[in-house]
Amino acid sequence: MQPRPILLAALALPLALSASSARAQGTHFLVEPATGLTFSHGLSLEEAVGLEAGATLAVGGKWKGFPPRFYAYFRFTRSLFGDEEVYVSSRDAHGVVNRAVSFVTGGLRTVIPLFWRLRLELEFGGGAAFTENGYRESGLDIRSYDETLGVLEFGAGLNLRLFRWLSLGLLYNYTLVVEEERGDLIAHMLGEEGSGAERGWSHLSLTLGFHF
Amino acid sequence: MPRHRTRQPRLSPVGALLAALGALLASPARASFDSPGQASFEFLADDAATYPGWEDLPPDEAFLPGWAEAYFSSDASIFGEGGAFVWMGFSLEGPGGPRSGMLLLDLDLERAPFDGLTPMPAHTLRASYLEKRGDQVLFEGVASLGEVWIVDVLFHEDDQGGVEGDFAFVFEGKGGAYPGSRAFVRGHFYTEPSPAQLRSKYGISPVEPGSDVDTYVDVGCAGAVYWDDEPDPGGGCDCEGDTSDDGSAGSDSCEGDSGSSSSVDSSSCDGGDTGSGSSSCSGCEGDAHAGVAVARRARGGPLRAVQRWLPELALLAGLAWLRRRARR
Repeated sequence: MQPRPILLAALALPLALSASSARAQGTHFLVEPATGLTFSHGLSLEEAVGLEAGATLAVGGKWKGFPPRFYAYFRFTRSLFGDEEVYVSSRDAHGVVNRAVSFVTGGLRTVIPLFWRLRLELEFGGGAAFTENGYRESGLDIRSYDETLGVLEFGAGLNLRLFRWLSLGLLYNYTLVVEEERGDLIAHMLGEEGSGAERGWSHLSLTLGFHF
Repeated sequence: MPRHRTRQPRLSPVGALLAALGALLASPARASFDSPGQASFEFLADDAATYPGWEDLPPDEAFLPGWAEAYFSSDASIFGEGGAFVWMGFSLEGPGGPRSGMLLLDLDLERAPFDGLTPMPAHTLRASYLEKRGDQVLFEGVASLGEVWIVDVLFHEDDQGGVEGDFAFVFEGKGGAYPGSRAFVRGHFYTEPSPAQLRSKYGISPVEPGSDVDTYVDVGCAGAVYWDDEPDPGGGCDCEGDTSDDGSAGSDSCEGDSGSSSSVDSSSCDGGDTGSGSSSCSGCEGDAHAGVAVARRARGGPLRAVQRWLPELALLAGLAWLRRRARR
């Protein structure tokens, strides 16, 4: 008996990779505004769901006879988490945390044609996260402070090439801090688990790509 | 004063590449301290009396021992990279039940004496004290008396520094709104890891008690550690693979390293320099060769073969599938 599912899978992959309708249409530049949600990790008391907006600039192309396209990208994203009230159980007190993060990253994006106009995007890059942190509590006057952190990011998403010049995508990115961190002042004051020493961010964003 | 160097284990080539990428964009606005820590002290809460001078404080028996968790942050300091904002939080018992106390210091460490004996000048420190129960403020104090002595400090280009010091404060109610005073004596704070632990980690000799020495640590050049009493120890040596050693450094050494000296001058350090002696900067050629070899293997590996033949394989598979479909 023929292992039909395996055969079908083996056929589907190269077909998908060579699907002409899903291949890029010979453009080399990309301007891609994006908006979505940012989820902050490593801070146990802060729910930390933020709104983000930003844009990606990319330049790239493909090798002849090899369907995937490769882009070098540069991205700027800003995530706002707003005022968030937290309860400090150790002191039975309430405070308000305000955080914002700007990401400046760059790296490599691989676009793999799947079928029809659908394409898989994979990203890997690095750069910096510029955090802005504020905290207030009755009687407590903590000066807001900024931090600069080296980060790596990994991403995957689906992209629909609607026209030669336009695409629509859904992208998930995970950004992690690569440098050694001992903690974060606000996280430590609040008694958050791990004191904010292992921070990261997930990004889920809708993208609108202009190709030229 | 000669500049000393010690060595730490090298980063892998990939690690160095990633670190360089991160450092490329993330190098500005770095601070010296961003670290948890601890503090111990003896504490007196008096809701009636104030103490205009140290000699007016009651005898030692009136004080209770206390312990606080602490956090040290240069980012939050008004004095910037060379400063440290210190938050100390602790619990205490008082009339009406438990309270929480917070002692907040902001220290200009770049302008502080470091002998552990001379107190910091008044203009180089800020201090306040807050006592709360839940969200209710019970005492908000401003310092009427205060001394901070820095015992040891290790500045670091990348938030990994450490500081240790002693302190004593008397706080009076802010604006006369809170009667009485709070006093801290025989206080001691330190980061975790402490400066002594960091000195051991970096292979830097411990500071002599009473000596006025601060140390600036710069980790660069593929993991090599430079330290000096001037705030730019790495500035003269940007070569990759630099691994110059001092006599007290540990046994870590990069492959192919041939430079070693007990008193190393860092005035020049060009890439690839392999000299030894008082101006050495060996280039870790063994590691460089290993990196090249890895890259060559990757280029000739199975992934490259797959990349090369994937379009043809895909075409053949597609034709086979279409033919099979046509037969049906």
